[in-house]
Amino acid sequence: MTSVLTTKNLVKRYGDRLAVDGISFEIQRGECYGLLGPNGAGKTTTISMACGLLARDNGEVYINGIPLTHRSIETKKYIGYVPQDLALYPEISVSDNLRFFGKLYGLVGEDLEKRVDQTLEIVGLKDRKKDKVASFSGGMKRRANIAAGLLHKPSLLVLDEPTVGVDPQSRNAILEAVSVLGDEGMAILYTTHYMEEAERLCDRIGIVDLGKIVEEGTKEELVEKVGTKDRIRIGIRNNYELAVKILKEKEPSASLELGNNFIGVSTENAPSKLPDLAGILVSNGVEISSLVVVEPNLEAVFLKLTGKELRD
Amino acid sequence: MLDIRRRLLDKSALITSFVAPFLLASILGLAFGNSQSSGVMTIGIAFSNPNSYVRNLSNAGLASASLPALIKVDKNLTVANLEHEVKLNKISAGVILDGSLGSPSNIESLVNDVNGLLSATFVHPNDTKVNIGIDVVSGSSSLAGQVAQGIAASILGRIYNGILVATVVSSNRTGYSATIPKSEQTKTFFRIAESSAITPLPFILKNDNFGTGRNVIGYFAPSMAVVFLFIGAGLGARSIVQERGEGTLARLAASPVKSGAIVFGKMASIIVMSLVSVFLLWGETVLIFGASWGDPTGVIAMCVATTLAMCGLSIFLTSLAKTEQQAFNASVIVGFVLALIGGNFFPPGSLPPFMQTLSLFTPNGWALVGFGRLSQEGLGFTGILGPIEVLGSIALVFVVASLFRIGRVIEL
Repeated sequence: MTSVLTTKNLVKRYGDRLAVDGISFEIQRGECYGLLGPNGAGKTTTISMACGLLARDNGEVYINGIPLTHRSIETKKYIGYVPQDLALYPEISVSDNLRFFGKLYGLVGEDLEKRVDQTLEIVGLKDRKKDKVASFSGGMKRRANIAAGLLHKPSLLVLDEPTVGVDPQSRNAILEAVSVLGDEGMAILYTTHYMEEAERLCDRIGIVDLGKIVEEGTKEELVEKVGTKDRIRIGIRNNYELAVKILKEKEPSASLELGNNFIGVSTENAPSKLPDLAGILVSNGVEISSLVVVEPNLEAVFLKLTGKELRD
Repeated sequence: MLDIRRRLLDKSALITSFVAPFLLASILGLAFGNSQSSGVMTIGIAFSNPNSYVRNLSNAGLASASLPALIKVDKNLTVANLEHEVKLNKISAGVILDGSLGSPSNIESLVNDVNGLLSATFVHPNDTKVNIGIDVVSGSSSLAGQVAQGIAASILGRIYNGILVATVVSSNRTGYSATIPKSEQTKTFFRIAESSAITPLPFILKNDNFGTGRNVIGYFAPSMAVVFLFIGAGLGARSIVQERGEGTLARLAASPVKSGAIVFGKMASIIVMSLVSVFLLWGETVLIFGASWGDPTGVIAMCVATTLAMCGLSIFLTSLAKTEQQAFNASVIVGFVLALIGGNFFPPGSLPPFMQTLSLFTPNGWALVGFGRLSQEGLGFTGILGPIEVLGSIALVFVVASLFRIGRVIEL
């Protein structure tokens, strides 16, 4: 089966800085693919090249098997692009905005009007169709922004951090809408730096850091790749070396992560072992400042792969 | 068309293309409309000691000045009347001649004092010295003062010529060598006579012929329209920078439309709306306030050429901006500087010669030349081919440059 989106070895440089360094991935029909990474990792640059907005220095992009360049016209009809910014005209109504962008995709007359209504229904803004975008709340603006990308029924919907700065209610509505679209067969490329969104929405996730996909797979595959063990994070106030020695002796199979004033211990059944480990450390004169058990999730995967934590 | 429709929907085009030109035309109309004579300048001439010899010479001096039609001279005034009328602004400026000359035979001195007042001392045949004074009475208009000064100089030059002729003829006929100036004096005498007799009036009055019976709004309306075009187009182009910041340009670029078509659409909407605004200004000032912009074919050609040139330059400058604020500054500040250099804020011909030359380095300066030829000199389409060619060249360069610039902006 032909992938809806195929990217091969995408490269983009800005002067001496390598913003995207050989990114490749594929998205199938009905699949939601997440690009997960911190700000500045190269997510937006990657999707700009995938949508033909940005000329690439190297690599290839195929939409439904058809090559795409930033000068392609016909191929762009298959793409619905929802940029990170609110890319609508604020001083005209949401329906006029949709009509404007719809005409660019060749929609006219009754067909256009029908699609405007349908799309506003999907994003829950039908009853506000005549209102100016400027009068909308932040969440409503985001939903209107998504509507403009959905209008022409693209086979690939590209969403660039669509929930940034949105209230929880609107965020939930957006995620719900995106989930339904995926179920209806639309391929979705979704960038985010919110773990819970990636976990909830994405069938597969590419973890992006410093312009590269450092790991890719389903959530379960990623966790598996990193290791299924729980992780205990023990904050240490004194006798750091002694604590390391004790932990190595008591848990020889565990992998230790030596941080600044903390020791990370990856081991199976961590919750049951925690009281014993803490007791031994304390009895040997080690003062413990904190104890945290981290179950394996994308956050742990990300931390393990990049050495960084994701933040807003 | 889509972009124009969008700009109409968000009312930005309504403001820049309809409301603003309507207001501008209304203000110009209220300021200058129906003032057919307001462009005409009256200079009064009075004699403190009426004397037929001086009066005849002054008439000859006026004739030699080749005064343009906008300057009317009132010679039937007393000194007191002249000063009173100038004070009331009924007369723009005046020249007062001391006419006690009699029959002078020799020049002794010519003074153009620090205040610009002209006076001369002549030697009368009876060896008494006669002082001729020409005072210039300036009113509120410095331009009128300059004109009066020019007229005074021209009259004085004519008087010198008369003395020179009288002296030479007298010496030839009678052989009175004593009345012929000495060699150095003769040189000075001839030099002054020659130069003063042809004292030019202020350059601009001769060349621009401002107000030859046509109303002032016919000049100022296109003049202000040109400034408005530049600033209006700049603000329109600012929306491109704004759209880049807001992401709508990216959305347009992601759509299945050629980037060239997007760029062309953006440019076209700005140019079309600018053209609408200038035609609206023309229509309103003509239909409501009775202005005459001149031959309609010429006006249409000038409007199109000026719009293309001013929009091209304005859009190009704005497209260099990285932020909306820079774009705003580019359109407003550069617009005002160009207007100052080009002479849009001044009455025609009131700029000094070097500034008039400088104004021809600006598109608005050429636009003023073209519109001036139509409205003030009554020329037709063939009379504006020069300005059209210059404006067309400017338009070609900057429209093409703008297309490339905006193309780059859209392609991220």
